[in-house]
Amino acid sequence: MKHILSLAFAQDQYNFDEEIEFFGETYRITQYSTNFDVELTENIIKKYDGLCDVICISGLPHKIKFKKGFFLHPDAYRIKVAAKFTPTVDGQIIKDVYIPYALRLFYLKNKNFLSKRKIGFYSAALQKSFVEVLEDLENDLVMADPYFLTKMPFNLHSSKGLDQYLKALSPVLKRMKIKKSNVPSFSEDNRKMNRALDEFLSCDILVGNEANITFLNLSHLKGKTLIIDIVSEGLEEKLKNAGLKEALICLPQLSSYTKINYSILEGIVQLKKGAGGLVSDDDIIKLVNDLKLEPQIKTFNEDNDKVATFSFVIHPLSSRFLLMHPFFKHINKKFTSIFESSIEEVMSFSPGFYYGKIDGIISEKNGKKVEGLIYAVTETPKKLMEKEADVIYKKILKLCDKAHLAGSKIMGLGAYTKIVGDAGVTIDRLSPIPVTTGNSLSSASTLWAAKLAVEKLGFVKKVDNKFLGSVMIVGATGSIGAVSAKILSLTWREIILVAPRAYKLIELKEDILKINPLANIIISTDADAHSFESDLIITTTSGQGKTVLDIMKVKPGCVICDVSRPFDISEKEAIRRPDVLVIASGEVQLPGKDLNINIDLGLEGNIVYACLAETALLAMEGKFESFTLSRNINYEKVIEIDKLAQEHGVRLSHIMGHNGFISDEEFSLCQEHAIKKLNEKK
Amino acid sequence: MESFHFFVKGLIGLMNIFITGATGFLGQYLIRELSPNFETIYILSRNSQFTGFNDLPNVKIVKGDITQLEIIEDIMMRDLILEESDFVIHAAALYDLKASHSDCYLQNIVGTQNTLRLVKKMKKLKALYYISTIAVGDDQSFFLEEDHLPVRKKFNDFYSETKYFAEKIVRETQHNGATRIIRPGIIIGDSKTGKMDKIDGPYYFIEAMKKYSTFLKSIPFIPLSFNPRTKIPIIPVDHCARYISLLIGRDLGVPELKTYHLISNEVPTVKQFLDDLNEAFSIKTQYIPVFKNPVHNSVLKLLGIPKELVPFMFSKLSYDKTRTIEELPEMQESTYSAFKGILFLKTL
Repeated sequence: MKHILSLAFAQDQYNFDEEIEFFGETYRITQYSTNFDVELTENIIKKYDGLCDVICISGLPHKIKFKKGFFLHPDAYRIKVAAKFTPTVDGQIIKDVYIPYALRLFYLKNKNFLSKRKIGFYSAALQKSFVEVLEDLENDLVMADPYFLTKMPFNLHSSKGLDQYLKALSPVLKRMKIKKSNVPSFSEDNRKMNRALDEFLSCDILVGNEANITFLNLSHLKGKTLIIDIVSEGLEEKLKNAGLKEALICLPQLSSYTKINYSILEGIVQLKKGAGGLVSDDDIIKLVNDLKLEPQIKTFNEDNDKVATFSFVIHPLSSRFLLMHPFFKHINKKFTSIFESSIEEVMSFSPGFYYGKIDGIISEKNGKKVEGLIYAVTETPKKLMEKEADVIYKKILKLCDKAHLAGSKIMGLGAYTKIVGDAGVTIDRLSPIPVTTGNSLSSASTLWAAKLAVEKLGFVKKVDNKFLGSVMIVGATGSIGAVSAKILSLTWREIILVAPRAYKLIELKEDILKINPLANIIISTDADAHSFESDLIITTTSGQGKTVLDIMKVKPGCVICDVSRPFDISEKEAIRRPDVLVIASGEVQLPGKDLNINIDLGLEGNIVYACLAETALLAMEGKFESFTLSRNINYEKVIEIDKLAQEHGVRLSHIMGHNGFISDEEFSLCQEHAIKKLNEKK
Repeated sequence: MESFHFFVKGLIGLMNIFITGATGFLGQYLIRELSPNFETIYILSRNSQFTGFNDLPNVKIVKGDITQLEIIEDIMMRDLILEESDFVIHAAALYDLKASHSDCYLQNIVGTQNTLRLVKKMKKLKALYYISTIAVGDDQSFFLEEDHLPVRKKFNDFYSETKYFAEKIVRETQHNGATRIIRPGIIIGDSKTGKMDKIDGPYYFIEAMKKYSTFLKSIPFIPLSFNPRTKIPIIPVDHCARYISLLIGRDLGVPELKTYHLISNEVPTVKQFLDDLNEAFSIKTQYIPVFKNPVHNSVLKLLGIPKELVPFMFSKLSYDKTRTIEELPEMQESTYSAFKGILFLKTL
């Protein structure tokens, strides 16, 4: 059995001598915590040199590299070269190779977590491998090295500045003893006295390593996010007690092997390499692949009392809404039509503004309180589509900045703001907070509403959860349309896809057949050609009120689910067919007894748009990420948000028509008319 | 009760024991107490030529060093001890309040961990007796419970620190036998002969008194940093050895971890001790207690009393002895008044 001698230079209580099984092999690990005692560490190394197979030293200050040189503390050097026969490792190679890879990997999966954030380093010099990656990801870095190493009251903000600082300071550092008492206080109490500390403690995320953090007063970590190399059992307890919100742990796999740290892991690689061989970058890459190492977020304290804030951008659905502004209340109603287009034009030059807020949202799943800040841009749908996308982007991005400053963690794009340009992608890229279009929940709620309406009218037979009828999706190649088509293809006998561009329809048909090879799909560019045979019609176009469907040709008893804003089926047209039920889908209710919306969203009561509800849901789940972007909604995301909605208590409020809720009487009336019409046809 | 003792003693007579630190002050007394009751006593010594126990035929010297990864060099002997040991006493430690961290660590922590490695491999082990110290207690608190190791972050000296962590390791280590932790008080000389092998604890004052008694006779009072009510938790070495031997003899191997505080039943306060010292040296000087301060620390230094001793002169701690008295009623007979005459007599 191979024997590993582990010396925990920066710990004082963790001693053991045990046989540990690690990936099929058993090692004897003897650990001594030498509590910054250089002489003792050196003595133990010399005593056991040649008697064990590898010596692993953890917590020792690493080699600090800077341009054209490096700095290694003389004491660290003394310890590293103390052994003459047994190879000595300190985990540096693993950190240098693995950490940049781990952070990149995490960034690719969680872009907003590690990008455009204010990130503080206790000592960037000791964590250079983190600095380079996080600087590349456009983060605002605050390096507290001057305070950490020499208690000087200023911070560094770039790796170039860090290099210069270290180069200048290396003669001083060489003469400093490595000892516990040299670690300064990061207590909140010192914050007012020290501007550098104040700046450091105002960071969103703090980066440290276990060896340093163990000796700090951790109270300043309350509610913070920490990036850390590894969290041992003892530190985990301390972090939890300190109120840390969450930690991104670079090597969480080692948590189940509580006795193994970076240097022991490198020691194991060294043992496999055999005598004479030195651990190389390639060995570490192989280790990462073999053990499938990857970083992980660990939540330490669910902050249910703290209100999570999201933001949402809306706009007037027509120029009529602009005239509701107090500025125009004195204009005689008779003249409004004259001024309407001018007001629409003039108002579109106004910058976006804070409109109001929704509070009292409480998750049914975890009790988390959430509030929404509603911002508005003044463009009507017409203006949003007419204007250059860049102009709208700038306007919305300014609102994103405002929302970020107000403490929002995510921004939702309402109605037409998510149609502009590339459907949120550019805005998300430039925004300081993640952005979502909310289309995933819009799709889900549309389907909830449609299903309920069809079941209530009862004209379509249902066998084994499958409707034996036809469903038509107008605007099927749009983002909501495509996903709706995929999901409905599983529960309807026949599905008719309608959109203006045939080639897109063919692509969509192929996509659906991949999910459900047995689906019966008809594609068409003309909605009217198939409306007479459809039991459910979902319209989701950006027709801006243009007629997409002749309602007079629709089958009696059909449910038309109009997802578009403005509506594809106008109120006037809907009245012409009392035997057809036109519903306006996408309206849901948020959880919370004392829900309060202090603004007019154009909906009744506490009902909100599904896209807004998606943003609120992500805040409730603490999933601050760009959940839905671009025009292509992901089928899996719709399923995921549907599940989150059920868990957190976001429900279909009522089925809505043009004039508010559709009551049970209206359903019965429509049913009667449809039966009559169907009888007439016979 | 008496028959029970004979019964256990009868069993013990067939057993073997392995002891570290047997050549130390306490160890030598311990071996003589244990010798009649064990078939073989293996004692670990760096010096294989140790002659101190030549008169005891059942004592075997085993060459070894607790600071080595394998504490017994000879593989055959190691296997024999692993095979035959029924009891282990780990008494080896570096007891020196002025020793460096490195030296204390190597002897007390590394040594304990290496010994435990050996202990874990003993298949027929009944119990491990680990000789700790009452110095593991926090002198800022008021009470040290028997079965509890308090959480401590600050230590006055490296001996207390390393013994504290060593006890922690012992408490956390699983092996085939039961764990008994013995925390003796300040070990003083033999209660019958007054024999003491080193200057320690109260002996520093006695030594100081020897040097300066003539001078002190002419001084009516002297300010000194001490708390007059602080008790000096002493125990004569022969008492301590006998009590450990009795505990081993009565041990039924119950797996529960047990801790014993071996401190004489009546111990003096610092004030009482100084008064007795005055009486022994025929001095009438009054000692005026003052708080810890640098000036008086210097005075102590002049008297040859190490600064590491100062915290013990202010300790508020008292020690729980419930279990110890219950299992070792004989300890009530160990009183300061009974042996103080010998203590001072020998020194004069």
